[in-house]
Amino acid sequence: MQRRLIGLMFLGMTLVSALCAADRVNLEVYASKFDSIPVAILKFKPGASTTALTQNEPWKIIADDLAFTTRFSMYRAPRIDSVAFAQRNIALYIDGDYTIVGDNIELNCLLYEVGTKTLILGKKYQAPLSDIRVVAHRYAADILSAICNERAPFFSKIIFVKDEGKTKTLWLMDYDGANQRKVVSNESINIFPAFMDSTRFVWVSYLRGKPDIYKGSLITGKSDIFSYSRYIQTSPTVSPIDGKVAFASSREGNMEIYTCDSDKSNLRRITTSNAIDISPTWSPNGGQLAFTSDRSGSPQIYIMDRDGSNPKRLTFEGDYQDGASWGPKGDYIAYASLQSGKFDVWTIKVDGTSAQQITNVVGSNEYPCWSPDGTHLVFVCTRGGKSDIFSIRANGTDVHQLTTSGNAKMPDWSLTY
Amino acid sequence: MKSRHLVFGLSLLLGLGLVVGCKPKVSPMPEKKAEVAPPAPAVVEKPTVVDTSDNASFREAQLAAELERMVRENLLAVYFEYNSSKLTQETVGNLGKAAKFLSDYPNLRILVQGHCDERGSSEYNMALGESRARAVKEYFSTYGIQAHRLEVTSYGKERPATPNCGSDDACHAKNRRAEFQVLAK
Repeated sequence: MQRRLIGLMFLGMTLVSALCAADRVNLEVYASKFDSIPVAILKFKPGASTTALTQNEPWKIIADDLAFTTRFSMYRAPRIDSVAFAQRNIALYIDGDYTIVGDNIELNCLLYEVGTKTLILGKKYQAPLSDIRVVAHRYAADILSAICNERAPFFSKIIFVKDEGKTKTLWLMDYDGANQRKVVSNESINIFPAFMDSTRFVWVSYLRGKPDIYKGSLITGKSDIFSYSRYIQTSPTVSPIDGKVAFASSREGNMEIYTCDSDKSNLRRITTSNAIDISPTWSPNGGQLAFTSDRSGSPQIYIMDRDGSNPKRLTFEGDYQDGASWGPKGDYIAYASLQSGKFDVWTIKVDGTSAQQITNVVGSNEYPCWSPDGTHLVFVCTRGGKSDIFSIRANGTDVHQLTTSGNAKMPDWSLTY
Repeated sequence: MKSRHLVFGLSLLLGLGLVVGCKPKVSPMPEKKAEVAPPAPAVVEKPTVVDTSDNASFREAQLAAELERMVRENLLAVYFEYNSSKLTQETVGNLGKAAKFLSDYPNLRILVQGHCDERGSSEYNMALGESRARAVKEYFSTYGIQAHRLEVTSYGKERPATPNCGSDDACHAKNRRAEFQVLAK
């Protein structure tokens, strides 16, 4: 991890002016003492004749964003208190103020060094009030970039399924669970959504009375049938490199993995076992796929090359594993393992070592999908007849519940930032 | 689309019912007649007696109801063991009845839907549900039911008969099933 502090950066979407900043403050020595950098954040102050915000408070969004990155440990400070800061080893604090005029907000965000009160990163934004979360995410991204020279997926989206009785609909939300909205709704069952890129996705729908694969756009709201046959098409997944789609289908009699280009051409069957082969997931370089097969007698995770050659079994512990998601760094695969009647999310290195249980949440925890930066996973937790989507750090800590409707499942995290 | 053959077949069946005397004669219902009959022309002094046997839509409704009843009685859901698509003794009994019915009505085309209980993954259950539907289709083929009359699909664990079973095994058992849907008559 690099802990460089670069100078002021003009990155804001509606950045009006930079306030001022120290050219360079070296936090290298300081930050190296901690796993994460302790940062205090104050409640931003409303300007004269501005009613205080009671929702979408930017200081909370910024604090949650920075805490999510694992690079910072956040302390919500009631005031600037050098004694309390010293006790917590806090060397940086964030302050701010805002003025609301009509439907617009003017927001000042200020990152200071505690000891010298030096302003390190100041940004002033003007934006529609409806974009307040976007602005807060932007400032958090700027801090992460300035302090750690890293980026985090604050603008990524999660697409998921809601079970609405007879129908199942597709929904979209921000990475932190905000802005949930319906994106696919019809009289049918819609399941297994997967992003193609930041605005297009594939999913499985029973619109024709059987499971077929459809392709939709978040921009136009339109959709088209993508792959169909007399039999089943299921669990589509898209290569992050070339947009190739892999899916499972029983079109030739047995459930096998197929791949095709994003325009449906070059359809190719790549598994040949007479067992069930399902749930493909691409390696981040598009060169391999992990998938589930019961060729050993029980569902287990396997890896093969993109043309289906060199299949080899990856999981051996447990007698029922499915739902593999290949991490974006390429080194780990997450999957769901059914043991003693309940699922938990596990990760394993692609060489088959270091299998490790990640979730330790009450309930059955399955359907993992990695965040675009590989630091987190989303998964579905089912308990008491209700299922909701949670996020968790890849080391098993920092669990956050993202949905509360009790009928959410099958999350897919976009690879966008 | 309704096939002429089936209408004919059902007519025969209804007729047979009359001969053996186990079915009451289908009698016209005045309310129904009033709905479907055109208003009597003013010049006619006496109301015309409408023979419902010539009333196509009435007959059609009767036949549809009759077919629906027979489908309900003969195409019964069949059940499976956990994580299995093997046909059990009980399953085979119900399937024999269904196969006989399908033999008697050669124009019926049906969709066999395989379902699973909520244990196990969504993905694997899609495959398991289809295995169940295909097992049923194969069994029907031993009765000479042609493949083109049988579609198979899977709902995996997406459409349970009794959701949220928790640890209730009897509840789970009701969800591990194959159901039938008539596609064409």
